[in-house]
Amino acid sequence: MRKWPVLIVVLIMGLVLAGCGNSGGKTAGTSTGGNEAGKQEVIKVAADTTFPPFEMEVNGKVTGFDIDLINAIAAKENLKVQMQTMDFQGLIPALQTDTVDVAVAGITITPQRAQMVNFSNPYYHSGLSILVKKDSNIKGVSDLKGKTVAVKLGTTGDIMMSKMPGVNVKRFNNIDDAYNELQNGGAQAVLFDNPVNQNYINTGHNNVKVVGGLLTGEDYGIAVTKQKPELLKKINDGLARLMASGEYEQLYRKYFKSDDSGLIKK
Amino acid sequence: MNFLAIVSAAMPQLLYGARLTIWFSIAAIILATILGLIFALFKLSSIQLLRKIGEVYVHIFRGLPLLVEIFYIYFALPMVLPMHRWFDPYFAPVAGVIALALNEGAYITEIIRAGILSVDRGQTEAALSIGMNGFQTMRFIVLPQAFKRMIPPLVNQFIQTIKDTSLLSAISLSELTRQGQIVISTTFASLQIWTAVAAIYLAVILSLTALSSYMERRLQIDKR
Repeated sequence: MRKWPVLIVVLIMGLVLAGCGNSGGKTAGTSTGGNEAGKQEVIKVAADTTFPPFEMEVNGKVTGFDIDLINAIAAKENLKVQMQTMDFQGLIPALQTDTVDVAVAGITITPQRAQMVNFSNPYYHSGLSILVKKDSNIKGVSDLKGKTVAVKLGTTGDIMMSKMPGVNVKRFNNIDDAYNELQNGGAQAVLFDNPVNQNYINTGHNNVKVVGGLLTGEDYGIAVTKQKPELLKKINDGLARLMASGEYEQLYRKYFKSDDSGLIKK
Repeated sequence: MNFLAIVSAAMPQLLYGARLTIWFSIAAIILATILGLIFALFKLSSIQLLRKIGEVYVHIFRGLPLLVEIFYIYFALPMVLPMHRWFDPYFAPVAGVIALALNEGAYITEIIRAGILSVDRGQTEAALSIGMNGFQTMRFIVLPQAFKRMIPPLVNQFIQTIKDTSLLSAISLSELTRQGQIVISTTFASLQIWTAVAAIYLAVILSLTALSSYMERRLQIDKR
């Protein structure tokens, strides 16, 4: 009988501590994002780190074209970037709930996604391509019927293969897992964004090749939460200034050298 | 209501995933229980080699995270053996179930061993003294009594196995969690879909819990 009061006290203490923990966390969050006059606005940016050369993690540091771009825009617009990494499939849900303000991950602008988040003006022109082993007899999209194709969950490659009948689609959280699947023989092809496929070939994997050329034309945009429309204006403004001053092209050349296919021209 | 509309549109896909989840769980549980029984008897054996084998099995498969074990079997092994050539199109589900079974089997080994050890030593002595051999003692006297005590921790482990099947999404198996992710990747309805997925998992696991309560009650009555 005496046990019950003790149990109730412990339960209440537990709830109080849990409550304190949460509100403590919230205060810490808002104080670092404080908007005192003259202080920089902090933007929470999420990036998926497995999309080289747009974003990758090198020695614990997140780098890449997308990362440099958002940092350059932030510098132009007097914004402070708070970077965190996240799985690609979690980016748009995080923007919907304003868990993060901005997401960069080579995100293709699509009408469906544009209903959920705002997109900046395009900053890279891309397309999907098919990656196969050098000895494969797959030449184009129609050859994928009846084959197994590895894709990354939630990407335009996933969406395209899911719509194509007769294809066995294997969806992975990371593109590295999909590439591994191709190497191990579990899939006959990978369908993914062309620049990343090319980067994969150029980083020492010379037993694979791209076939069928560019299957689609897609533009990458910086995704911004719909709850902050003024942030979208700032990002577009910063991007426009980078393009006008030539810094955009400089940054582009740093990663893509003389390959002009992705450059957004005025 | 928007919630119901979104969920009912996704339901066929989610239920397809749930069916896969249940199949993987059943296969893994059966395999893990067999492994657990074998290695528990090894660990209790009078032969030192068998005891060592049992210990090593438990050390390795209890000592690694399940996700690492899944990745190892699915991504690492095929780099040395042509697993896909041998087993496709079944390699992914087979690898997943085997990884689950090996991992859960290590825990079940300890559960069964504890159950057997908890049976009063006098039972074994009495059985041996009336002329039963080791196998008969185990089969007719010790295991039946041990079994009743093992039900709660075993059911615990079975429930854990069902939940662990969600990790198989990492090797592209389209079980329930993965189906949830797929639906959300095009509809972006995180709240509605995850609620539906959670409800389905609860339904599956609570059914198993109800079944085990029923079994416990029946066994209590018999063994008065």
